[in-house]
Amino acid sequence: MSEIPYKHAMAAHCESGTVTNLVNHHGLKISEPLVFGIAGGIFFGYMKTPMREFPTIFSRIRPGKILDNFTRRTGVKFRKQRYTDPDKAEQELDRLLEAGQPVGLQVDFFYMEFFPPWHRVHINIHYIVAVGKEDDHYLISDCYHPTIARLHKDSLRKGRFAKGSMAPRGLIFYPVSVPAEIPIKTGVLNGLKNTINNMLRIPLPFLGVKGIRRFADKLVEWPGYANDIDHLAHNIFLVTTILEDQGTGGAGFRYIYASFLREAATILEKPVFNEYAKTMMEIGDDWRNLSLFASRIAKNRDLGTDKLKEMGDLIRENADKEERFFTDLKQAIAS
Amino acid sequence: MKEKEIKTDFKEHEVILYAEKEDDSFGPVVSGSYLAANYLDELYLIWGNFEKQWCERLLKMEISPVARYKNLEELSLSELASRAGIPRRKVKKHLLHKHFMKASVKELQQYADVFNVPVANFFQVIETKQDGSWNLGHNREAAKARPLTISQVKTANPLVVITNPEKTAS
Repeated sequence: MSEIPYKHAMAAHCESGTVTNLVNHHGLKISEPLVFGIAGGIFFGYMKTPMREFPTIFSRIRPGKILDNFTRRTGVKFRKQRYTDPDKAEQELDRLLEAGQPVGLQVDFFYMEFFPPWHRVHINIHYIVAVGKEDDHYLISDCYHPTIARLHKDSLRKGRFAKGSMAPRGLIFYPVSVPAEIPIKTGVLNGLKNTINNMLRIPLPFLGVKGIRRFADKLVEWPGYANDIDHLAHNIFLVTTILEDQGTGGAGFRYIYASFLREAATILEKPVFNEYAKTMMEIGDDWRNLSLFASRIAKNRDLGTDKLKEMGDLIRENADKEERFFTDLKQAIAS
Repeated sequence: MKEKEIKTDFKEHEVILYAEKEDDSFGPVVSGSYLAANYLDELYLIWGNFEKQWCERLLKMEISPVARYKNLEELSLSELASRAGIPRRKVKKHLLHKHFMKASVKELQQYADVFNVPVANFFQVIETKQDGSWNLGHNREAAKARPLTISQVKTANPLVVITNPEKTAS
């Protein structure tokens, strides 16, 4: 078996990038920001999960929902299947590749050995596309890697069947029906409404704009989770990692969302959305400045209560700006 | 943010960012990771300190090898238990030296699979010493200048690896 002709492209985010590249392969030309926006990808949450000793933040919707929401809103149909038997899962993958079908996979990022060890962490929600097999190695299109990479079949199996939170359970996905034209206007509108609802109306104190405020309030409690100053610094650095480095397109997905709003202005024929795009880009700049601030105080180990409060104030300002932004956006859609 | 302001030069770790381009359009830009470009040495320093700290506690028998890897991989107790398929209560015990001694080989294999290391690594610390300084791994310059590559080759027996120290090709 060899490589399927597949246009590998790097992307900001693994899930939206994988979905974009797969539908592009099947003839539907669409950009990553549009896929992300139609899926209502932008979000915010602050919570303490059993996965980590420290509280964590996230700036997008639940893993897997980008694919689900995009397909529901556009009429593109994907086959999705999970497996309990790794042998059967591997046989099915080989069969599909043999038939020339690039296959999306959910994996634990830790086993993607084409990345340097310092880059790899245990996280079960990474998405890749298998595009071929050569002897014992699969050919992998990973949106975070500049080229098609080779991965030993044992590593891929470990990645596909890692246990723990949000275990992949061998998930495969690929388009089975891609319409020539999708209901783009409705898709964009539904994506916008979904995002506004998520950011403003979920009645839980740790999600949406309320989640940003909770992050601002709780940050001063972080030293209580740390073993020592290095441990705290490491976790403050992680804020930057989550916002800037973990496949967000920069500023916790705010920049990619600004790009989506630009495209939405043309699709919906509402030039005012260009202004919203600009405002979202500025909000993104504020998040990026927060990341730079976090990195600086972490490096200097300047992590006293006053600095954490200062960082909390920056976060709170972002919450206020996003609340105003999404409230205005809601009115713009209604008008 | 403008394209030229957002771009960072760091080839070892590149990401896609979205930015405002020269022509006023918004679009993707390939950039080096800001964090990696500016703070990687600092992160190596922190990780190196963690590695040293956990290793010292292991040698003093305060913690078990499972605890050492758990901390290095930043896994919580629940996450490790779930990934290894071992009850949380038992994992908690295995983090201590005295209870680790009672762990079965099968359980060790389950832990080793999660950490992606050979079982043998629970009973050894592989160190490449240069200039008498500590160079377990997370020292960027030392890693680059390392005169030896330690490869651990899998065999048909899941409990046995062949460890090969080889001169790093210059």
